[in-house]
Amino acid sequence: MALNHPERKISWFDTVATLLRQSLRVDLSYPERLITPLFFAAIVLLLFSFAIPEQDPSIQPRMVIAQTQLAIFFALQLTFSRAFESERSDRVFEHLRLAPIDASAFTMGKILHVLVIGSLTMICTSVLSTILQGQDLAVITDPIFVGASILALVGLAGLGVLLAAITLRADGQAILFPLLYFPLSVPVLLSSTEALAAWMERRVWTDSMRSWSTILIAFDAIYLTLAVLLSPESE
Amino acid sequence: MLDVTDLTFGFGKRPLFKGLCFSVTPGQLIRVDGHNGAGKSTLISIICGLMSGHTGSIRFADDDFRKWTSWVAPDANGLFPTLSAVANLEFWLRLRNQHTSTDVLRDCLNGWGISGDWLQVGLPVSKFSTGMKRRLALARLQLENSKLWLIDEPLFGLDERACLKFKNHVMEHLQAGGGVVVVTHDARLLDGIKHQTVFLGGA
Repeated sequence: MALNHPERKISWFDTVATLLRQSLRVDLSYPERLITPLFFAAIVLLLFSFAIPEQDPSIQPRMVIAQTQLAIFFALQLTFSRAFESERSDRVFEHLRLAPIDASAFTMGKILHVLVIGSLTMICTSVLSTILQGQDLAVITDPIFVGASILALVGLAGLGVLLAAITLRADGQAILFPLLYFPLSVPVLLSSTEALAAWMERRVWTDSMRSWSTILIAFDAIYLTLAVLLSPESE
Repeated sequence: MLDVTDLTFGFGKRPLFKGLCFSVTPGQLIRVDGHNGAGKSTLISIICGLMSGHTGSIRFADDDFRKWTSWVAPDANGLFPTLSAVANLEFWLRLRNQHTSTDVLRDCLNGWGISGDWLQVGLPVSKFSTGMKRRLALARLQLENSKLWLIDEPLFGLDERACLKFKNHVMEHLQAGGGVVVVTHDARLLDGIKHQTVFLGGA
């Protein structure tokens, strides 16, 4: 048995792909993890539709966006609270720290995992919200709408994974996480809702939409950079 | 492979060990011995970089020791509970750039007594007993084929047959030029294997 390992380190991209595949495999082996956020988002939307039954048609597009964004925001909370659940069992996280991989690849794998789950939630909640508000379904297939929604998801995923990693070993993670996540996600939620609402109301590229999109992209960049830079290191 | 020099560690003001020095060279096995609470598992965790707060130096032969080091601990099999045995092995080997075919993985697992129903696709390792999980962790150790093994109570939960199998693997590993640092209270593992002992408890 020869102990010869010329190069045992896999590339950064391969590491990200392997970690993403593993996270999705874990999700598929435990479908409740996938279904719960969707179910939760649907409940939030239904509650909104009962609480606000009749709306002025002029504010309906804005309501669709606000409700969808809030439903995704709350549903993602569930995803983040479980983001590192499988790594906590059987000290998998320690084994990952001792594997020859970059910590930033681990974080990026987690962000992409949340993006996949978030996209699924976003598609379902957008469709349901549009139907409940009596809007045209074609709106949510608009490339601008999809792009801005993904930018919102990127910001929330970056922030959520960053905070989940920071509070990973904190005793009061369940309390600490929402205390940090709620206020820090306001700029992402606000800018994405304003940008999407501006688009839905006029369907033209306005200054208002440009400004809000710029703010959204800036916060995406900040949270993604921080998440990668503050990845849990081996020491 | 590994040089530990003047290593001192303690919780608060009470030192667990003080001025610890030892080296691991190819083909050498170091047994870490001491009573319960002497800091044996802590020492392994410090060497692995999982704990900090020590003084002294730990030097590995290569810059990134993670490429050629494997770790096993009693409560740390590193298994994803909802995935199958093969899926777990595939993941960890892939992270070490090892592309091992499913047939090879199954052969290895068969050798460890994980066969038949245990290898059903979709049977999660959460259904495994403590001993079966440990066998799976040791199968991974075998497949990773790292130069240096840092192993803490590897025989935990194993039956006589599996103990003997692991002992044979340790002997093969040492003959191939590998190094081992092992914490064990089980004399069966070291019977007939030349080793040095680092005793903790004198601080």
